[in-house]
Amino acid sequence: MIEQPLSQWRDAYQKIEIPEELDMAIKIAIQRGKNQRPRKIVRTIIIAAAVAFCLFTGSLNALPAFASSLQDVPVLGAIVDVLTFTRISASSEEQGYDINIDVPEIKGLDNEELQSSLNAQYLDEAKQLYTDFMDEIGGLPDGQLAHQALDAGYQVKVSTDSLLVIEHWKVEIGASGAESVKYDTIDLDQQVLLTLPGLFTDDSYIEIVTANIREQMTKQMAEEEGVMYFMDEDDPYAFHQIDANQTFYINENHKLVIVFDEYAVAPGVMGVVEFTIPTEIIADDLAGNIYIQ
Amino acid sequence: MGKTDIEQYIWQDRERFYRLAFTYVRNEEDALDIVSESIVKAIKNRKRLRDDRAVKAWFYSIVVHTAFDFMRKRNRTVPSGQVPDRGTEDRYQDIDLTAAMTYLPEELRMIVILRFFEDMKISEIAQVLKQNENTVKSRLYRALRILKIELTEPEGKYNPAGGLS
Repeated sequence: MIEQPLSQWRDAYQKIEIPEELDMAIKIAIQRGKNQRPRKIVRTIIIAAAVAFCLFTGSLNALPAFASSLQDVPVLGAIVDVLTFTRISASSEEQGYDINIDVPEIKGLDNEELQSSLNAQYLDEAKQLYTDFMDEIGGLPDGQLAHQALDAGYQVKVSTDSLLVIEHWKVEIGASGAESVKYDTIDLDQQVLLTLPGLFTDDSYIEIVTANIREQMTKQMAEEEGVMYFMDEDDPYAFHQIDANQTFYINENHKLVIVFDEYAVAPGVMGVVEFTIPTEIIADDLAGNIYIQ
Repeated sequence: MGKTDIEQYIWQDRERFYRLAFTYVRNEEDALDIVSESIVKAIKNRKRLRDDRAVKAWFYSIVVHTAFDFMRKRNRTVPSGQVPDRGTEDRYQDIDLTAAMTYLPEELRMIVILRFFEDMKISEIAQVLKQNENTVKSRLYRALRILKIELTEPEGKYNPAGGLS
């Protein structure tokens, strides 16, 4: 007869070796899940058109051609949509690499110049990512497995009547993995791309926002278990202050959100980290109160 | 439920999901695939989760059914493994966890994993597997008979519905 087989198996179960790839596989899966969310349609339409719009939404997704014909109907105004323009991908099991890049395309902006320059930029960046990746693979000695993967894509992070925020994310997996994001925040009323310095009257925001983020970091570390930030003043790799053009976006509640890539201010396990900045501390320095309230 | 809450839950228990999938399919690569696919499905369909408190049962259910689908597809290409001849009791002497799982037909394997390794209650398992509690109970007894556990727990009779005493 067996001696305590079940408890032995329970021990064995708890000791099942966790492959190194697990963490990265999970991060990628989370990103893929977000990326596959039902596409949001961003609209700046007047209330009278809202009902008509609801009726049309279903067919809009199904028939891209229909969307463009709708724009001829003046009452509906601009329907800004973010679609996948193309997917660049390549993989080889023999050489051990895998790359997938979804390239977005914005459609329906009145400011066509802005739209085409953003779209061109998205395509260029994707091509550059691909070229760099393949160059690196090509530089390896024959027969050596690359063990490299790169996933990149986008999602509509925020869409209100007046703001469109497109998130571009990238996950690189080599010996370890790194996740990074950037955002394009577009003002749909003015049809312009927002920059962080452009939101403020002068550059005093750098200090104010930095101080607030440090405060939030300290508070989180004290209150939440497992939260850790690199804040040591003597550590050259720690967080000292935000960049004038630090990654940012404006959320649905009109709050400024400052974003750091994985590893930039915290250990990898924390992933990409975000800090929402209370409006009252920056109110005096804002160039206006349209975007941030 | 906010997306970060689901992400946090998944991240926090990621190793559990992997162990579950691995024990079921007994292969690292497939287990990683199952976990990944489950996460993509969960995040994509997070709106279907109406009650935040049900996140555990909801996500396990996704993992478990993804694993079932995976096996179904695999069994279509690879001849389905017969339950091995269980022979005499002596054969169980030193079998490890992986070997033990091979003795169980797939539909029983998941119940054993959830009950004994993930410490779920019968009612929770019923929810996750979308089966009624009586079916779960009778299958659990069948699994235990195959593994002959009720005879061998030194502390006395094993109570499958109550867990380890």
